[in-house]
Amino acid sequence: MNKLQIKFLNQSRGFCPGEVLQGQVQWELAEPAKRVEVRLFWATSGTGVAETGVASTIQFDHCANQDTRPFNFQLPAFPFSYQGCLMSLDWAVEAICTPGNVTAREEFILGPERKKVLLHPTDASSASSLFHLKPAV
Amino acid sequence: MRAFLCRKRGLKGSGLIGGLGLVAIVLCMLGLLVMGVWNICCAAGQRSWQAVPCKIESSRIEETFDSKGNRRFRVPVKYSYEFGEKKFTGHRTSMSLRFLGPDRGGAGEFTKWTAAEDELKRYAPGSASQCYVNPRDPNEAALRRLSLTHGIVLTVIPFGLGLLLFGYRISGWLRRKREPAEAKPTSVLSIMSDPALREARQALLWGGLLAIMGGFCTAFLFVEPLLLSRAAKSWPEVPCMILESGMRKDSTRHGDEYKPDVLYEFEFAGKKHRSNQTHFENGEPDSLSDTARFVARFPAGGKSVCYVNPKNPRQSVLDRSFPLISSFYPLIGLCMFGGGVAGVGWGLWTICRRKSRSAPAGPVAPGLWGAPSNPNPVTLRPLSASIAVLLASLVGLVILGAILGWRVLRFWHNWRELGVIEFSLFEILILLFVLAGVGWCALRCWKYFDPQPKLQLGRGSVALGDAVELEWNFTGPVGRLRSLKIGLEGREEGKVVQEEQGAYGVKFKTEKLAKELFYSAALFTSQTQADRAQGRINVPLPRDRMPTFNGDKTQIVWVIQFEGDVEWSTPMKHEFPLNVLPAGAK
Repeated sequence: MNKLQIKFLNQSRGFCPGEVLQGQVQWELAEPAKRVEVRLFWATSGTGVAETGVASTIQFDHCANQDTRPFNFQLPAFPFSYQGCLMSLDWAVEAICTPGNVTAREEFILGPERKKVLLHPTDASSASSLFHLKPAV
Repeated sequence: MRAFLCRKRGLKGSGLIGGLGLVAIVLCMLGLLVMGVWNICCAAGQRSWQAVPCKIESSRIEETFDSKGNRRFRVPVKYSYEFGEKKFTGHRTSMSLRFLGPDRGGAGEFTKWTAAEDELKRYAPGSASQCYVNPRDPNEAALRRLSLTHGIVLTVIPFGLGLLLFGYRISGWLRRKREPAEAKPTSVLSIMSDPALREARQALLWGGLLAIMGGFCTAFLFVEPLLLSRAAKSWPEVPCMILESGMRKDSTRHGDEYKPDVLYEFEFAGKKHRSNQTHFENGEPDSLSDTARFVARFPAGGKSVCYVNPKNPRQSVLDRSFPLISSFYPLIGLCMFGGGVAGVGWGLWTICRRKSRSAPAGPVAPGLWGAPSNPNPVTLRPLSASIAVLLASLVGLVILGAILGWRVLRFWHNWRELGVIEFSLFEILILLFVLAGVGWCALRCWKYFDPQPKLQLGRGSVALGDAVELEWNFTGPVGRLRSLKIGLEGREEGKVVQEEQGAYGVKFKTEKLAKELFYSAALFTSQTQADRAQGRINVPLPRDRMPTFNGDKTQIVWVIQFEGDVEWSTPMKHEFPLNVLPAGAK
């Protein structure tokens, strides 16, 4: 039974841009792994077409069956985690073990004040009376 | 199995049509398969026929007409052979498969005179040849055996298509079984299933197939005859006698086609030749008016000139030109090829870009997914004020207007000269598109002469919670501007895939741009004409929103909107992008 796990060493799951995310990746595999890759990335999801962006990668080569390795990521300034009406953007760290493509994933929030930015539809009552602005769909 | 064959969801009228279409396709494929297997069986049966020497007793070219009155050339051949010390006489050139059409008595039938001549040359009277005799019935013989190739092609096509279709259905069914529709993912998407990479691979596959198909169509329908036509410029002019002249009518899916049917005779290098090839392949006219004009140039019994290939005098034409716009099919092939190449290029570019991005060497470059920082003032102008757009619109107007004028003149000319106005539904559709294009280009040109705003922003980028100075003035006839409103808008934009479920799975997918507004603010409303012409305001940005985000499929955009009414024109609406940085950024 293969086991791959990511643990964050920071107390909170919320981070400000530029902070350092510390963690460790732990694995117990039936056979020695050729490579374990830890990736820092964001992904969008929602009603639109999803996409991903990889911000940083750390690679461990020729790994033993069982091991624990620490990792540090300096978080980028952008993009923030957000929740919109159309899409939302989330950050995560993913570990991929090859061969076998065993994966593990841990999510976190990157944003000002360590919170997700919430994009609610505007009230804009004053604006609509002047402009007749309607949300385009 | 039921779930695999028929998903009940959305089984309505359109689903029923889709289902009937699928049944029709399956029946066609089965039909092809049966024909292919039958052909292979017959051809394989003839492999046991014995080859014996034979003598051609007689052969000639006969002119016949099919049920539609189109000219055909038959070559009946009579030959004698010996089998088991007995003499037999045969007349079949090849065995025909009865269900493919009426039995013509085994004689070859051709539309081209030159092809009939080839057959006659091959089986010239008095010459020795070889025929194949059925050992069980020596009366049954043929000069040629059935080819296995047709049968194999007829079998492979439905078999391959069936394999592809059912493979796709089975893979979809297995995928659905593994990932039930109810189990929606709650966490973020894994980088292992990058949608951009998946799209790029699909673009590579389908783009490649489209490019190959389009390339073949373009090569055979356009490039090859065009090159031949160019080469024929050096062919000598030879006097010829028109023996027969007329038109043949073919009924196609797109309506009736009229092709010239002219038989002529010429002498080249001391030898007489006949031909009914008037043009190079795909170069002959197919409309009633064009064909009537062409045939009128070559009346029966008249003298004219033809162009003969000096290396092969059997290749000759009456008209060696090749019209560049003979039909829309080569253009469609060219569009398919271009679209396919673009798809392959985009797929390769995306794959390379994603792969290079997947392992960044250092920290993320600033402005990779966000707006670039720019502390310098910037000037913004709408696209409609661009002289390049005006010129492009004018060029488009002239080209599309010329196409429209050419077709209208042609209609008028045909009506005056021949008393007919002929057009196909396809042509009407194209002309409607051209008309819409003319209208659009004319409007673009007209909009150039509207009052155009010119914006000066204090900084090229502004942080959330900060403000930027906006100064504007109008160029052009400002007097025609009747009102002006300036606003700020922040919105999400993203590509949304809409899937329509048919009875047999996803019927089609469309990708369109969706917009969702999350911030809007009125900045300025004009009261007087002087207000409108020029002014200066401060544009404050909220603090708790999202800065500009430039993903491939998802964007957060901020725009300054200029709206107003313009006399003698459509309402003005311009959007100028504003680069918004995270709060506190410089």
